[in-house]
Amino acid sequence: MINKFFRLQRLKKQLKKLVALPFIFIGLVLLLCALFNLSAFFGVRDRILFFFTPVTRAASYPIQYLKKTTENINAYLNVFEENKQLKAENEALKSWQRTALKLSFEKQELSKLLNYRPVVQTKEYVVRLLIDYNSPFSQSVIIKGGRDIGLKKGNVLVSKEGLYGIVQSVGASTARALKVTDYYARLPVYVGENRYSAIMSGDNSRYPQITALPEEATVHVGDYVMTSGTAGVYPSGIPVGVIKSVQEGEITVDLFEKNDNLEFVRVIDYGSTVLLPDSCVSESDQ
Amino acid sequence: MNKQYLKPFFIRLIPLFCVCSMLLIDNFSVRFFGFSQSFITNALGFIFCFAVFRITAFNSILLFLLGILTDIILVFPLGFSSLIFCFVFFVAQFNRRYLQQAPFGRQWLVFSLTGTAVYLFGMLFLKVSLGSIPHPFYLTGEYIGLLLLYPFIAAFCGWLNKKMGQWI
Repeated sequence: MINKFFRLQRLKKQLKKLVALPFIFIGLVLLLCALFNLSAFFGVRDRILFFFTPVTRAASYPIQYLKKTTENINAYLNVFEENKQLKAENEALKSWQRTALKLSFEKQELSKLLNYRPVVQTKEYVVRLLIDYNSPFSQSVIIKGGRDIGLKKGNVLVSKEGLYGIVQSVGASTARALKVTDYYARLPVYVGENRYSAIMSGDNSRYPQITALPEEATVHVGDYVMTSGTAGVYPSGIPVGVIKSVQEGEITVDLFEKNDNLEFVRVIDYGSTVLLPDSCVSESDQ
Repeated sequence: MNKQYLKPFFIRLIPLFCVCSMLLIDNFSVRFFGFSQSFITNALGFIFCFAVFRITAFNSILLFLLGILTDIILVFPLGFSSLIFCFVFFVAQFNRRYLQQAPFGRQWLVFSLTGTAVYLFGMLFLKVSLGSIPHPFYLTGEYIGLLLLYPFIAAFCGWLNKKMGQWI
């Protein structure tokens, strides 16, 4: 009887040691779901993400505040240098403004002559960025606004500098958008003055790479990169960045929008319906 | 409520507080310094140490939920941190008796081996899910940092354990 009791106690102790195993198993199952892109799983994941948005935002609020303060101090320290730079930039912009006005006038005249009507009618929303998510697995942001203001999957995020991302999933009052730097972001672009078609592939770093360039293409550092509109996911003509480096087999892009501390972005609805099915949408979040 | 009951209750929460603080620091480093390439969190050292020293403060459910929360805040695939936390906890718990009596060098060695397993698993997962490992040198640096930080975490946990022994 006593032996039995002690044996039972020992067994209990040994079982207690193994209590973590079922949780390891559950974790493994969850990971496999992520690995095999189960859309139902991602739906649940996004719902949890949206639910926890206030908590995550609260956790990142002091950091954002500190970041902003540091930026302000830096700006104050570099105010003279920045002023000089801005003056030079302003001169250059004035010249560009004249060119732009001339081109705009020409465009209007030509449009009238051809009786041209723009095919795409866009809707624009200005939304606040709530959380900026950077991890080795995903580069995405949560934005304020979802179905309540009419956001849809496939809407494009544009900052004042250039293309920022694309809306991937929409909740009731928040939405998740994929940044162009995400590992799974593939963006059809034109490179340089010759408008070579290529693909800009994110690799979770600050500098995405240019791939699938035609063999005869010659690319130089400083060449402009803009969306080509091929495949219809992104509209054409949105500025993306400039070529940063051209090394053997590797061309990197310096994005126009590199601010980590953005507060607002424009969400543009181009009415694009050429998006991937839901099952493929959350690939980026593996 | 009686202070006698409250004090041990709060003291028991210290390990949880330490792990959460480490996660917040990780969150801070990701958001403030832009260290976004890391999947190894320094909380692993605390989880290992507290599992060895004071088992009462942690259990698998708590760590699992903490892992899920980490995954949500740091945007890791759901289940990634839970799996790692529970694995580290399991190793520490399974070898608890041995680790409590073993000299520090051996304890460090077991932690290093566990850390290596976690590191290799993370690398493998990155390779399988993304097709490549984005910044292997950075991750290796993080891993070495975690191993080097362990003696300090262990010293802190040992000191806390002594104090807790006195308090409870």
